[in-house]
Amino acid sequence: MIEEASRPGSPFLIVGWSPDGGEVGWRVLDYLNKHLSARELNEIEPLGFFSLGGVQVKNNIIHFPQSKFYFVEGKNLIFFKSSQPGSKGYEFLNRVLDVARRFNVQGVYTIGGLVSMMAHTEERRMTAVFNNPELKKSLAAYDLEMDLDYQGAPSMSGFLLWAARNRNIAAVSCWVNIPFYFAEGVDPKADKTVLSLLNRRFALNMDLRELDQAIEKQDEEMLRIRENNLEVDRYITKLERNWGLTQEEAGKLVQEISKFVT
Amino acid sequence: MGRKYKIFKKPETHDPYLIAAWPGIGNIGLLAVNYLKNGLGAEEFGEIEPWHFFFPKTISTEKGILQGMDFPASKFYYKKAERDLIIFLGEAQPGEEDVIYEIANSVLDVAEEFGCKRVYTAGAAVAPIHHTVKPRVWAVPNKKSLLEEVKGYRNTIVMSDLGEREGRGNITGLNGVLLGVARKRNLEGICLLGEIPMYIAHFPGPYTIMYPKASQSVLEALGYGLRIRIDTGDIKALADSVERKVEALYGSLPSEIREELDKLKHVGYVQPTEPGPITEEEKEKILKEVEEFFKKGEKYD
Repeated sequence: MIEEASRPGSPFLIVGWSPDGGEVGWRVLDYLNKHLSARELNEIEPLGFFSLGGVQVKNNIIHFPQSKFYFVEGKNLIFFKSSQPGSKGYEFLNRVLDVARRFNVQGVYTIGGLVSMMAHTEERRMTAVFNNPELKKSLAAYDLEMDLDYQGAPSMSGFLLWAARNRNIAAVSCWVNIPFYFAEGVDPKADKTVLSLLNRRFALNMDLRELDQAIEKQDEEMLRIRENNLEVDRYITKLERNWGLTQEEAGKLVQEISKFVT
Repeated sequence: MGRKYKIFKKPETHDPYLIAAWPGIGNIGLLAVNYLKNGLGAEEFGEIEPWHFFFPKTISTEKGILQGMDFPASKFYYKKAERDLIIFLGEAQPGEEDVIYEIANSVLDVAEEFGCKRVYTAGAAVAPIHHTVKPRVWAVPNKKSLLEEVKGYRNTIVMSDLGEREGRGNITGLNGVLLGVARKRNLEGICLLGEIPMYIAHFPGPYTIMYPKASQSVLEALGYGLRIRIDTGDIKALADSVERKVEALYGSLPSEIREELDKLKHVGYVQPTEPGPITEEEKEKILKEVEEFFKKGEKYD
């Protein structure tokens, strides 16, 4: 548990879920935890919220649901890195908001990947949805698409925004678009876009050069794939020209890229 | 456990019965109870707060601001009639056992708040019957003292009438759990399950249909139990329309599958009639063949 003396005063809470497109939420939080030397604060026990009849094995490793809070001394930030609960979502989200209340959180930021029909060579854009117009105003100077009209399937972040509004806690969900063929892998460009926003918003002064190297490496890899596989090159070119792809073409592209990119 | 329901108005009820339904196979119970609610002109008076139990169905945003979320509705209605009724309709059933138990308790909390002593649920019984046969209703009470009463309902049978079952069975989901919890609270409970032909119940995804023919049977049994008259004209018309679709689908099946299924016209539980009911082995074979047929997407469009 966090010592009273080192408790952040009116911090912001940043939330990332798994699963997520390109696992952006967790990757961003891992980066923040590592570069800001965050300390573990607390956790939500999985019982009642996750299926515990067994464990998942992915890439030869056993996975187990986790829902942990971290805090960064001197930066007024709390992070919540969590698996998406499979049951009693509202109760789970209220546990998260109980922590937010307890620490008198000023606002909640959720981070997520928005899987999009786009080429990896395009610029990553961020979209934000708010539960509070004042919070929207306060982020007007940032490079965010802020006027989304949408009706459709909700996400855990959307549910959190709704639950937070019920408790008068300001919240925003930030989505970075990710090329659909990176959805099951990683997208360092998306990670960097989000981290750049957080860097600026919370004056974190984090060094993002590590991500530049990862981007360069992935770009080289993609170039090599395009040179060696004309079908992949043709599909990506079509995306770059905004011609779109058929479902079959998109499926093939995912299949081909997944052989190389993890 | 805090209260997870809202009551908008407090109807004066006298010794009401609760009738509850959720989606399920063929939506038999939901169709029947919704029809009853509409036919009687029952008024909404409360709801289970669905966010405690369900993930939202949709979210809407305008100019980047969250407007609202829609959840599967779980609503209470009442009607003062010869027998006062409380009707509960749920748009979704939760998957997790503890959530099912919690919803069952919330529904019964409301029922008891209004003096309810008896509960009915309605759903589907997957049976080896043919779609041209009038579906019967399996009536399952939660107390021995109700057995004689339900045997007197129209077109009903009890589990022990089902030959090999010896009075045993399993009612999945809220239709069963609600009555189990009712028994725990010493409330009377009766589950009415309308028969649906096994091959229709097993139609895969895109071919899934509702089965109002069984809903009609459930309504008739329910009307008898509640001692109220229910005009089933509209649901019969709906059942006839669905039957024409089933006939078209049936006609598109290969003749060898149809011949197997035709045997079901002669199935009787209490006294098997010639040429005799199909065996378990034949049942498995038919279901497999029907499934294979749909997988291939032959003929039917």
